[in-house]
Amino acid sequence: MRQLQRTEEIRDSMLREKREEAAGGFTRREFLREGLRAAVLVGGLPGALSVLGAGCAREQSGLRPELVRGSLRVGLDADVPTLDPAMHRSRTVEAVVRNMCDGLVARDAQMNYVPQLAVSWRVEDETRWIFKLREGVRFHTGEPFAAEDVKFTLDRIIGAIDGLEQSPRKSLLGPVVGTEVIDEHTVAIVTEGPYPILHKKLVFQEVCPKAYFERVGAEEFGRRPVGAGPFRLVEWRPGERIVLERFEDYYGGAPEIPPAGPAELEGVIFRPLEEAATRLASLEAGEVEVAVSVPPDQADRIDGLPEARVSVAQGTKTHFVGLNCTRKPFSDRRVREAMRYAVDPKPIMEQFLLGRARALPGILVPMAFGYDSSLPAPRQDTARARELLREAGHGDGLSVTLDCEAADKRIAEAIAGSMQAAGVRAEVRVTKKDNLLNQLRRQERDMFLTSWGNSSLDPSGILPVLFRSDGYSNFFGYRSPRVDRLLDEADRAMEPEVRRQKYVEIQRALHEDIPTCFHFALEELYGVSTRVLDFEARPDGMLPMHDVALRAQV
Amino acid sequence: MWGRFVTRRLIQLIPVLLGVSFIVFFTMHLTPGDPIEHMLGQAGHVTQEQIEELRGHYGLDRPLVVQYGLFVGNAARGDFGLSYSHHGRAVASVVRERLPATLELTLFAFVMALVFAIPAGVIASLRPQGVFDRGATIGALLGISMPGFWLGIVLMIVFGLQRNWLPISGRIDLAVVPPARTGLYTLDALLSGNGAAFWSALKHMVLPGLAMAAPMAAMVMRMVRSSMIGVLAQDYVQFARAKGLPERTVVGKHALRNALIPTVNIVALQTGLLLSGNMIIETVFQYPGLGKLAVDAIGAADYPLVQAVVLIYAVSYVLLNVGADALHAVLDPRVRVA
Repeated sequence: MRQLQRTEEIRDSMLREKREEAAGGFTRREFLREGLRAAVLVGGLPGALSVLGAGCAREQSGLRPELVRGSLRVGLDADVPTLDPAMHRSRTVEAVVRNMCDGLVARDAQMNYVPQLAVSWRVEDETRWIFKLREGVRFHTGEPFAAEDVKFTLDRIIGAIDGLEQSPRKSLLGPVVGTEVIDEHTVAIVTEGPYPILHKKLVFQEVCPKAYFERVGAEEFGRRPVGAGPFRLVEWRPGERIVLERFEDYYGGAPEIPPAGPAELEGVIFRPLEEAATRLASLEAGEVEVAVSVPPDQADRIDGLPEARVSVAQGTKTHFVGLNCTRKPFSDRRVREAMRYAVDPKPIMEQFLLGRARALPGILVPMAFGYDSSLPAPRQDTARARELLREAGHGDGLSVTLDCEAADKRIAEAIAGSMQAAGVRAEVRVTKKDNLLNQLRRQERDMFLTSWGNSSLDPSGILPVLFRSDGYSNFFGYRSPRVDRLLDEADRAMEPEVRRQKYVEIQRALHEDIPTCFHFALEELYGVSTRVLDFEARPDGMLPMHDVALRAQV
Repeated sequence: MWGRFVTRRLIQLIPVLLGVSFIVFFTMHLTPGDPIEHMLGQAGHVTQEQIEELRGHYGLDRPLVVQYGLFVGNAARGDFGLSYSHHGRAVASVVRERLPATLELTLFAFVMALVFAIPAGVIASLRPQGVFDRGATIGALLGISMPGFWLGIVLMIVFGLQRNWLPISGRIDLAVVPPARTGLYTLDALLSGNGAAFWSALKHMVLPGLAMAAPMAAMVMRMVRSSMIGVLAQDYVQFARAKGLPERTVVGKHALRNALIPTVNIVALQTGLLLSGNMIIETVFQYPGLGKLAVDAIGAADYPLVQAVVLIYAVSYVLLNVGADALHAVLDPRVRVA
């Protein structure tokens, strides 16, 4: 019965549809069909529009397809606030800019110093260095590179040009007071007093073209810098990406770092991907080929992927526990020595830091110039620590606060835990980084875990700042006339062997006086796609892409 | 009467903004953090004079109250000062660079949330406690309770990594950037007739947009559902049915229109929350918008930038609510009388 009724209904409705169709109206089915067609049309609108646009000189600001295909993409762990080589103190900016702007001196992968835009240099007298410049080099604008550009670059940094903002890189050039153009390809750099490491410090400065800078002004230069490097800037979308393309007229770079000639890669694209999870996911998904700074706990997983590997470099930053020598309890040398024996480095390095760190006997990393390899390796000796504490009147143990910044909290807790065996009760207190640094500079903290980077790998980049009596970051209130004198002598010693000897003596003095203990350096880990050839992580964190190649995408 | 309504609401904006500026200014300046320390980094031998000079340059050496007065006075004229973390560039220019990205993503998430929420709410209300309703309730519960950063990472792993359907980060494919006009990539792509750029920009917004839209969709869905259930029980709905109107007209026209009136306010509130959600989502997806800018600025103790961004958020939140009230008045004449 019901079946029959339904059939009738259907028949009726079909009849109605037919009638409406005959009358020129829309049936429901037709309506749906038309609707669908309209939807497809709307959806295809952009496509249709693009065809339309192609007819009338289509606007396009996208990158050349060859550039996109042939570029290496790098996920950075920090954003880039400026691209002006002279206006930053950021390693990330330096790593990006170094691909666009060459310097007088560069470092190879083993951290040896080689001439780049300079051909050679000699010390004329202790305060005057003569640099011979490479000829036939052109900036990205096509203008030739000459002595005036070097003078302009260095004068801008030391503040010798009026009307320009003070460069935060001034302190990296220490006692440089002036420059002189001798001829088109020769420059003299004048220092106040002897400065034996001038050539080493020049790796941190990239040469800027004077004429271009004066044409466009400082602000525009920070957005669109020009240099004589292997890549030139195509576009910079702040927060999004920095696109560089191969500079075809490149002179080839330092001859000591083969191969010479224009870069292999079509271009390099840097993307700020500060979140580690996003950076690594982008590497896995093939959205970037190099991911800077892989967290240690992710390193093994990334290394196990078929499409990526981990490239490791020894870091140049030393973490250490600092002790305040100006007040109790650490004004007593015996208490400081007890701290040296209180911590067991082995489990912290191997289990806690997953073997991605290395305990050091002192503040210098082994790669550093003048590293004293004769100092004893750090080890725990709780009996000795307890005895020293007892001698110093802390027979029933010592209670202290261990200050650190948030990023170091877990490792500070591990250190505090390890110290318990020696009768030291350390309570970890976390302070925001800037505030902690301020407190440390005022010597208001007794015991603290902090770190100091030294990518110059020269002791002059770390020892005077931390350990001179008037050092800007002498957190320890450490005063040693002997160390001050040795530091001054090392600063003036033009003979490398003499300098080395001075620094060895300083390291021994510091080992004796113990303003710091429990030193370690973390490895720097980079995630690298297997498509990338000839890329290796470097201790200085630079990302030179001139010699890197990319296998075609499958 | 309309003019008076809107003017009154806009005048109310002034004390709100003063309050917000006061709170932002003093929380920023009183929380630990030293912008000069950030600027110098590990600058080695920096003299105390150099630090004082920088403090003077950025006006940080004056008493806080004076700094606040200057900030309010300048902000009223649209001058938000110089950003510490952007190489001393004007805050307004930094913000202008990032605003379109956020605007675009927020609009996208807004549309997505409504497209999901309104039909789902209506369907759920037709059979309360039915299968669909229960499913939608569980979905809404998840949408509200899942933290944005977690949902974002899960979406990224599933659709970006395992399935490789959608891009993980960024705003657009490198090869197809449209010429800049509005800064909204989808709109620019349409204006320049670049279909590939349009799809690429859209594709890049799907995952962050979903993660942002989830809590809003959940709230709006629940709101639509409950007010639909209320409306469907009204006499005039019964009357419409009795009149012999098709159920679709009864639900879609008579019931839904009335049920949407209370929803408008929830939508406005939730859109305000979308804005706050984008700080987290933009950070997770590395989407170069205002939210990520704000997070970075807070990390760098970049007071002027944080103040400007927070003020923008506050203004949009208040304006959204004014807009919702106005819309409410349009939809429901009773409000106008009151």
